[in-house]
Amino acid sequence: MLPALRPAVLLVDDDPTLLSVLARRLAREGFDVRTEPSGQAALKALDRSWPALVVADLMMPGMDGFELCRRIKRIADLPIIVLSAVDAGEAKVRALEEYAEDYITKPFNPDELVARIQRVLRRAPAGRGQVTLDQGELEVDLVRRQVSTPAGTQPLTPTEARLLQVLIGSLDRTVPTETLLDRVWSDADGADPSYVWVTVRRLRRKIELDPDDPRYLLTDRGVGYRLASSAALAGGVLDGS
Amino acid sequence: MEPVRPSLRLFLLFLLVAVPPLAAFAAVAALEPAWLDRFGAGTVLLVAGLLTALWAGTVSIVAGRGFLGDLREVLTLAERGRPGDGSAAPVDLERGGALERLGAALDERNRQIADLAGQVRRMPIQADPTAVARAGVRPARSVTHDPTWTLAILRSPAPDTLRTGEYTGDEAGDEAEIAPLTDVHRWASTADTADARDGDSSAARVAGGPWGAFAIVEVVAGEELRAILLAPWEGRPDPSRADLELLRLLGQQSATAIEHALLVGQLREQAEELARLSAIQVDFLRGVTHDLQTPLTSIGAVASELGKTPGLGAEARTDLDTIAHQADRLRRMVAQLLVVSRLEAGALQPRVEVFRPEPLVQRTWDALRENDRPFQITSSGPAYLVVGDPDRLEQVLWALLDNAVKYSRPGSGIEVALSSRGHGESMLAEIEIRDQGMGMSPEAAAQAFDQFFRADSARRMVPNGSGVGLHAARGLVRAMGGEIALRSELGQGTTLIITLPAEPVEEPAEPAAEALG
Repeated sequence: MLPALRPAVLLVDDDPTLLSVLARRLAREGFDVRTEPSGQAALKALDRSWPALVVADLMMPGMDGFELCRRIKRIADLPIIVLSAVDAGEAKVRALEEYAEDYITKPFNPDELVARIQRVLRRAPAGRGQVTLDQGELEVDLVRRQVSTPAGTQPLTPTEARLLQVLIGSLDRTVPTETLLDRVWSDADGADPSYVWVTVRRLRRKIELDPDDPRYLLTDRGVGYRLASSAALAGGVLDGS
Repeated sequence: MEPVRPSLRLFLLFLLVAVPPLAAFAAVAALEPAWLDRFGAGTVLLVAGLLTALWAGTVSIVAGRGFLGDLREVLTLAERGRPGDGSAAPVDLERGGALERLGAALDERNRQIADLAGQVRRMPIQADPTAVARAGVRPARSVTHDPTWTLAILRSPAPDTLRTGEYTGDEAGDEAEIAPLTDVHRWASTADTADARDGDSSAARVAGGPWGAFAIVEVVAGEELRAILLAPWEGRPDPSRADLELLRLLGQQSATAIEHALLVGQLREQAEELARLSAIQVDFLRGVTHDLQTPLTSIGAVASELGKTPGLGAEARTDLDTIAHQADRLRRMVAQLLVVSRLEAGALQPRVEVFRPEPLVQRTWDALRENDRPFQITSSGPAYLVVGDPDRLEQVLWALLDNAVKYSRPGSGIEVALSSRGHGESMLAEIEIRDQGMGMSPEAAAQAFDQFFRADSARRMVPNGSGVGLHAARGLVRAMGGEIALRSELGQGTTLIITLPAEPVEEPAEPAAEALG
């Protein structure tokens, strides 16, 4: 469910052409679009009101997107999508992942940006970044994108982190496979249920002691998946009632 | 004539004492002269004994001086004798005390050599020649148990990093500790070089001059580096030849160590310069790509937005579509260049996602807008998802399909075969891209993945090309944990085979849920 009928999106980019093209496109998609040409101007705009989401360019003169994200996160836990001319290989972008929900490498197709904005807004509010399950046996850190078990700490891919985030949002309740597909993948990914199955299997290798006999990430056949808050509840006492 | 050895002289002396009386007895016994009976055997023996004693006494008095001298000399030599000391004559070792002293001397020398070797070994390989020069003084001090050794750099190949002057070798030294050269150093550097004749640049010697005697060890490497190790030696016994030899070795080691430090410093400087240039290049590339990427995004976005304007003529729509398509091509080429620069920096870190490859292949093909060409995707094997970065794989597919189009006749078909092999966690996905194009010679095929390589035949067919496509593709596939191979025959077309990790598709079984039911 969208947070508002016309969610407000704040676009920050120093390139006026791109700003106006993207603003027109997003407005056509039904967003309430505001634009700012710099990081400083964006922070001033945030003093007046908060949008549902911020789209910021990484490379801007003066305050760059990295600094802007940090300052925004100090003010409010707003979801941010970063437009960058560099990609995931860069250390800076990796550091950015702490602040930004998503990023798109320039140049991009505006359709892709729309899809990602919709996906981020559709997802459950970020809420808790860290969750501890089963008396500390399993720790999920969505901010750092990693899980810790007695066997060690493993990194999560962005998709795995999104999947866990949705499951944590409905802890001990079964989330239908279709809902997972809808919230974790964007329309452009062309995902089908097999994406959920395989991602769950890969996730189990990271969080379960025995991936073939899971204690936390449980399948409800023909329905979906559920994350059990403790191994004792793995039998599904809370489920189906 | 060579001097007779003392031990031989002693032997001759004994012969001289013993032989004449024995010869006399033998003669008397053989001849049995008449006077033997007259005087009686007892008297004759008494007289012979007296004569023999008289003879031995005379010989002793005459030769006594030499005899004692020889005995003294043998003992002295045994005492002084040291291994490697060529000045001493070979010593008759069958004398207990001398042998023990010799063993002790040998032990002491071995200890010194081991100590020296240890110090040389522990010298850190470092780029600071000043520190190395200081370190070079320490072995001389410890080997000779003499703390007065200093190192004077007289001529330095790199005066900025290794100043001329006197280095004392103290641990906590800084710049201020390098004392200026004095007249002593200038004199010592030119002092009696009897031992350093014929270009023997690594000599050690003791020389006397207006400031007294000094031990001087040459530290020389090539034409450029000249230094001396120096210690006051007034009133001290001359070092043995073996000591001088040890100091000479030390001088050589110091020279080599300082020379190496200077070279390491040079190399480090060059490496820093290269790193600086490389950083400038990366910055430049990043700046340029950013400058290109933002307008490219705008062009593509504007063109595609305009294309959706209602009531647009067919011609305008086609033109806008062309603009969007060409902007997309440019974007992909810029991205390819970025991949190349990132491969060199080792900074390529693809995402790890799971995805179906068919839609990606189809989408990439559609982006090439080669609608007139027969194109076919076939799939075989059990169901699977590729494990990798879909955006990166799209880059790879675009480069390979673009090549297939460029290097084959218009209208000839292109086929992509998707398959999987293996199972479980060791499953692999295979993507084969086959064209019916011009193909490559075995020589060209062997170099096809090299950066900037373009086969002669490729140049003839497509004069302009960067030669980065296959190179970037291989780098990307490998970064995703896969491999890329090429099969080609001249005139018969080319097949590229991408292998990537994959996951089998099967809905996970759920024992817990079944237990519930």
